Amino acid sequence: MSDPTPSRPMAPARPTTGSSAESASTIQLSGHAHAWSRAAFAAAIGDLRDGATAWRIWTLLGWSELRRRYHRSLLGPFWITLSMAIFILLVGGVFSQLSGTDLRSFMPYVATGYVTWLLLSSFVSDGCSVFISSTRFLRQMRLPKITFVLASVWRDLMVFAHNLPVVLVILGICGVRPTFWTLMLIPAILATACAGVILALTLGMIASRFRDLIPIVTSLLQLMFFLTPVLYKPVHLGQAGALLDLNPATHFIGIMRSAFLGEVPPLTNWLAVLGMLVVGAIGGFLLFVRFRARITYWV
Amino acid sequence: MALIQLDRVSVDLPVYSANSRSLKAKLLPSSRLAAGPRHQILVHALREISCEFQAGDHVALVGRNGAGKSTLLSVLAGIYEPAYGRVRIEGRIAALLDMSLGMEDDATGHENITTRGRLLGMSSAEIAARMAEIIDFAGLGEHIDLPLRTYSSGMRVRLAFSVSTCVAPDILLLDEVIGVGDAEFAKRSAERMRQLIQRSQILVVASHNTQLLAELCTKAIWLEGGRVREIGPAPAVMAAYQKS
Repeated sequence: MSDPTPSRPMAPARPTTGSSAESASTIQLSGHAHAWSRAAFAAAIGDLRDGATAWRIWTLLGWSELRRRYHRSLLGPFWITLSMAIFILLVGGVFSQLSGTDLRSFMPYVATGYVTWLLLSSFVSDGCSVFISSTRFLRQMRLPKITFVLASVWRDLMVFAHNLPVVLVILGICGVRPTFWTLMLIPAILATACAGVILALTLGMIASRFRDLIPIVTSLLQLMFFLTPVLYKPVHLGQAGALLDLNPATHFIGIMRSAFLGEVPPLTNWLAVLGMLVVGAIGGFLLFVRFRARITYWV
Repeated sequence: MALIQLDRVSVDLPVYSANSRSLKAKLLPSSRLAAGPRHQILVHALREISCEFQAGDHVALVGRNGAGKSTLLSVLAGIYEPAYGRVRIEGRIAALLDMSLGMEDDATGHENITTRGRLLGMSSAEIAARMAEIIDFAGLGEHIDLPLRTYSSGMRVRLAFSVSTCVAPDILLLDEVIGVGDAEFAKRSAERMRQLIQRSQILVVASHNTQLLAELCTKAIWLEGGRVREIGPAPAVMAAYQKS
């Protein structure tokens, strides 16, 4: 034993069950947290605050899940990169012929659209299982619930980062040069990440209560891909192209793609994205206030 | 100062049948499936538990299997937020309920110590400072650089125990974990556990080992069917429990 005076609490190892010193030193729980009440609001805000500051824990959880998925594989997460590269080259080539578009201008369009679609769909599909897959943690220790959401979003962003080189190489080969508007990539990724947090929080809660949300969402995602302008341009659909604006994914792909290509930011897409984020954040937060305390009981 | 206050705390654990859990069943109540009233099955895990413990209290939780001991520990750890009643807990809590939580087969012993330490709320500096002591106590030698997958179950337990017990909480919650591993390690771990208990202000331990509880504890709660059957000084409650 290293501690010669065991009766005195050792200074260095401070066990905390929450993340901030305050939440760790005093826990107050009441039945009110299970209904609309001041206590429920306070608990939800405290959860978000503590979770956001405990970034070390959610980055750790995100990384370890990524490592578990690709353990002992030669390329690791680059397997997704490789499969994405093959998809873009083959399917992009075929569709450029189908639509009669020049390959040099079509490839960057498909690559930037597809990488954004992969990010969005991983937010949705991983978001559904965010609490279910953390059952053991939820049942055995006290962590802010948002921790698991942030871990999942972080992991998906890491995969996105692994995919980026392919897109950049394609952009480079096809002669797309960065412009001033390329800087819009930063707010565009941030906005998409915010959407990821909202999606994971909302879908995660609903899916832990109603388990058949996951198969529903999985099959809807496959359909949605064909209703999203990734492999074609809205003009290819003629008059019906305007209907694509009803698909939320269209707008996220719009803001990301224009930033990648260094084009002037599309106002409609940005307004739609910001509108959806505001509505989603309010809705997700209210849902979280009402049902946060129930998550542990549902999983 | 550490403090635990429970005021008429009740916990109902819902059991979701496949039926009530389905969105389809909720949206499209078919004549056959929704024939009966859509009532959930609730397990009354804890019923109106009230108690108060202060620094210096060592509390034994006794009761038969399914009496609610583990659920009560979860409530004290802040895991289950009770739907009725109020809980107030002051002080840093260490709940050693699942000591291997967060440990991964594919990560090395080293990495697992970091993960576990992080989950227990230690900073990088604290983990680094204690790394040598933890490895030494677990007695894993050079295995520490191998993935956990290669460990025997005894080695895993030793590693988990070594990390988890280097905390210094105000409130310590234990669920049937006193001595682990082979004879030699069991002796060292019992000693380490004794020291951990000494430096915590409040101890709550659930166990079926009444002899050990009698040595450790000053107070006791006897749970039966989710309710407090008896609460008070350990010798009296334990005697009544053993008589039943």
